[in-house]
Amino acid sequence: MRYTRENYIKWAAYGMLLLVLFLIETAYRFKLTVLGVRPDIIPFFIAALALYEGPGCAAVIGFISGLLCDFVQPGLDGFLPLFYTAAGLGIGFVSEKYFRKNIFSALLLGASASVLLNLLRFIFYYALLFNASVLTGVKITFSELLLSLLFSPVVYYGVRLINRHFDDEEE
Amino acid sequence: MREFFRTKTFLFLLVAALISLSVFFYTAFTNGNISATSNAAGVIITPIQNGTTGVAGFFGNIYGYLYRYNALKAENEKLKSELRETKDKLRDAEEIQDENEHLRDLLGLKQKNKSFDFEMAEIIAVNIGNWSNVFTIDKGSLSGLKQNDCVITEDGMVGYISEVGSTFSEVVTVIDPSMQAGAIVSRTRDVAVAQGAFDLMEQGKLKLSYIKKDNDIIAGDIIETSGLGGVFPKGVPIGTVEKIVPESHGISNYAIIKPTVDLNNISKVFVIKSFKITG
Repeated sequence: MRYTRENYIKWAAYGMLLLVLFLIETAYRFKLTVLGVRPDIIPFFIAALALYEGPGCAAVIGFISGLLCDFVQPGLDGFLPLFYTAAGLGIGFVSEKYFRKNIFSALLLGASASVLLNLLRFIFYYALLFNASVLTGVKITFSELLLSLLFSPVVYYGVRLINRHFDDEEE
Repeated sequence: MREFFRTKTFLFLLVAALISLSVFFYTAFTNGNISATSNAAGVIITPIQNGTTGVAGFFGNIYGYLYRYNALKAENEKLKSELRETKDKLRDAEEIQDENEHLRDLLGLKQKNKSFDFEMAEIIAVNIGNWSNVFTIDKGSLSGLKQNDCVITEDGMVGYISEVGSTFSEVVTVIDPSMQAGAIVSRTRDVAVAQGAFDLMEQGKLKLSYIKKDNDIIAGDIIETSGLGGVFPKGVPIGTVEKIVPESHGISNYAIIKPTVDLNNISKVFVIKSFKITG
């Protein structure tokens, strides 16, 4: 991760993409809902970022994503910045060694992050404090995942577009 | 990978992780107020979300006009010339009418509940994900809102404020699993607890728990806040009973309640900042 002017502009572009995704996900009058389920595409954004930019950038943007999401999320503040930072780092390191930069890798890594996030939420919060049943947990996790997978290619191509634009410029 | 641990990025991430952990433990051991980081993020992001809500509303209106276009076409032709002359006035009148309706509702509510002190607020964002039913309103502690303030519309209870920022607040709706309110059956005066449940949240419903087996509660009964405990005001409608179901342990029953407020179609809400305790 080099600290050049181009890189700062690129990170700003990723920041703008994150802001747009966040505003779309949280807009009240423009609810993205299918059969009462809403997608969460932030894990897919972090995964695509980690795939193309590596662990450092993904972890930094992941931290910022977590702070943003904490603001509209009930429960303990601090969990999401921690999770998305770790997810950015983890996916970044793993993808550097074992994954190719393509849409299937991005979807697989994003889906893994999404399932892990919901699993942690379920075990340490909703099951513990609100006695949520396993069936409900599975239903929420997988219905959200399926819907998020539908929207995630847009996120993937958005990240790829920014990455290619700035990498070409650098060359 | 070893080189990564010597970079500035790693140092930044270490600091970020420490901040996250501090915030995490701070919010774990304090209650009600949003952490400083969330508050700062909220103060910055709320005006942007306000703008997004406005733009989304604008496009929503355009969609509405297009959808009804055919039905309105004939009538529109007839009224075209008249409309042109009065278009500007009409637009102003519509805005005034909308504001007037809300003020009238507020007045009606105030006449019914003279001790209520209201603050009108607009919904600007919803939570991410499907584990909760929470939204954000555009008023916070600067407008005098506090944690646990009851949020209502003219139809009944919407929820309560769970966290307060300077210029925004998080509202937990009546169908969220973390919601609990002392309730009373309007007809029989039986006391119970209205609470959200995961299984019912996706259907937009909640449950009325701890109903004794011999209670005479039937479908259609209106459930309202009991006011016991002094957290929420007494007599605010929560919902109507749809069905009585025996609990799995067999000792008591619970009722499935449909909220009186259509939670998918509200944009403005009233927050009860203070009320006289009559419980």
